[in-house]
Amino acid sequence: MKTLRAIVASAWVGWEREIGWTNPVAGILVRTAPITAAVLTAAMVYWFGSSRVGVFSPERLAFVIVGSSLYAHVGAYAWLPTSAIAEGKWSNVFTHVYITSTSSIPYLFGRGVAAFLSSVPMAVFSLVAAYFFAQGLLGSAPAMTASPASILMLLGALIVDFPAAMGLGFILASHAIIVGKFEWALPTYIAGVLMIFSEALFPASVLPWPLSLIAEALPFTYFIRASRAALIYGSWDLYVSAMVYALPSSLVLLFLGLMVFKWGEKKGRQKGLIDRKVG
Amino acid sequence: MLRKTILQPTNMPIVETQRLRREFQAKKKVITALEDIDLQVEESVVFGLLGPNGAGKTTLIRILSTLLLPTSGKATVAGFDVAKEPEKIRPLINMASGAERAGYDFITARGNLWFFSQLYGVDSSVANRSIETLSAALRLENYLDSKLYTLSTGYRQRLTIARSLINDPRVVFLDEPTIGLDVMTAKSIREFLVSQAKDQKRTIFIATHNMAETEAICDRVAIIDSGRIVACDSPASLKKNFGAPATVMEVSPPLQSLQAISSVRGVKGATSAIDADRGVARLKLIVDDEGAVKAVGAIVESSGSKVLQSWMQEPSLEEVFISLIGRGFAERESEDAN
Repeated sequence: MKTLRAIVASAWVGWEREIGWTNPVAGILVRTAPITAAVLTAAMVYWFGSSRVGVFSPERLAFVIVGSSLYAHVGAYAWLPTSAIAEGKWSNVFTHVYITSTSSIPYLFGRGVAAFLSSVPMAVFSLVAAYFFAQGLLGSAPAMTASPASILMLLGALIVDFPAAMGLGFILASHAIIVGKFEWALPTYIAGVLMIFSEALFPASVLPWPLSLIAEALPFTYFIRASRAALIYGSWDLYVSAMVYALPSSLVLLFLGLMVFKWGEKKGRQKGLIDRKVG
Repeated sequence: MLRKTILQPTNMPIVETQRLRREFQAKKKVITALEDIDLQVEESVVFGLLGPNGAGKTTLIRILSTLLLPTSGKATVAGFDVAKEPEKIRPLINMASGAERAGYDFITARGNLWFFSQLYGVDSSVANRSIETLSAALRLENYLDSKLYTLSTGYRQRLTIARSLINDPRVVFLDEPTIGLDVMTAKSIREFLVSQAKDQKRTIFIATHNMAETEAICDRVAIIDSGRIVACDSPASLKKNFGAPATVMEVSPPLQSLQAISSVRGVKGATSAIDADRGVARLKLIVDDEGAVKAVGAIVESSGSKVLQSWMQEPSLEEVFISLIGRGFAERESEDAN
């Protein structure tokens, strides 16, 4: 009950943080970044693909749009624990969160929930925007379907992916505790690597062995596969086969993330880094 | 308030340290921030940790509030080991620093207090009552629904104090709680803290370099210098045992250095405060030989300065510190800086 209270209150703070932009221009820029990224990625891949092979299938276009939109969605909240710690160190809030009886994990989890909830509509909006962009400007309607069933399937995939994204978030947050500055260095690096290894733009099968094994092991790959099964292929079988792996691997990554985070906190407490900021 | 059972004061200290030591690894050397700290703090008192900047006050508070692990030795709060049982200590304590922001700028003062109460698992209705009670006591009620960034320094600091009490803690660690505040606000916060110790049976552990504040509100004071506790007692006992009347000399122009004065036989300690507006320095001397005052006067004259006036001053904690260390806070801080 105590933990639940802490999660709910942190989600509330997170929600206020996510939507409470005092600078509307900055707010719009941050919120529209995933949409812009998705649209631009789809356009670039389409143009390059068309110029190289002469044709570019609507299915391939849909593959890229779904992958890039949902990749941006995962990124929008997987980095949240790092962001909350970096911001919390500078504002001293994290110090006081850390010494509360529930300490930092429910807080970061609640902030993650808020970021997830505010990111889902943007992910959906990204998909819709990219679809109409492709149809209007590229003249090629992506092979995507939106039915109640496919939307429910997508929602299920988003929920199953949440623990995985938080697990990755906690791993990166342990790094944010230990370093005094440049907290974003590792997440930025991981974001680039993840784009390659999560089937955001191309199938894992095109990666050389053993790199393909990394992609096949990551829950994000299966989340994006499940989302494509829902929105492109309309295949229940493909969806279930992806989700069967996505769910346990997502929970394993969350568990791993929590372990790494606890280790990072311990190191931070040993070295005096929990409340330390370096200029 | 929230605490279901107010524990009866016992003979057991609520905060205790034994040979506590903390080192920090700098680039090529080890810095000892705390060395062999032995302290016992009883329940329901205002305890002061007095020392110049860099003496180790904040490090000790960080250890006791479970933010930092000691290098060696032991520290307990309410009988629980800070290194091994932080999760048992955290519900019983809280901490605030006067030099930092109170919470999130983008939510209201009330929202911030409610948020922190929830991290302690306090029932929402109980938390709301506490917010009203604390804000009334700290005269914050008219600003509860203002966003944090709109509050003045004084009201932010009141909010920081309110936040440190939102979970009804048995021990509150406060680091320079009145720093940067105007005299009246600082006074009202001090009065509030004393009432918290006496009426709510809380232990208020204050780290400060404000001697007047320490003398005004603390039941017991530990004087810390260079990571070591050099004396610990009530302010009255410290003054009785270590304090000596000071000879104050107003000197113009101010002396460049106190080195020659400190080395005069019979001078136990000397400190200097410059009044830039008047172009004078106020030399404070603790001597155990009357002849030393004359010798200092001669040094002042020989260096081209004049003694404008001199008088005797009853001992305060400042004189205690000068007697114990040989220098004042300002001199210690500039030594550390060099």
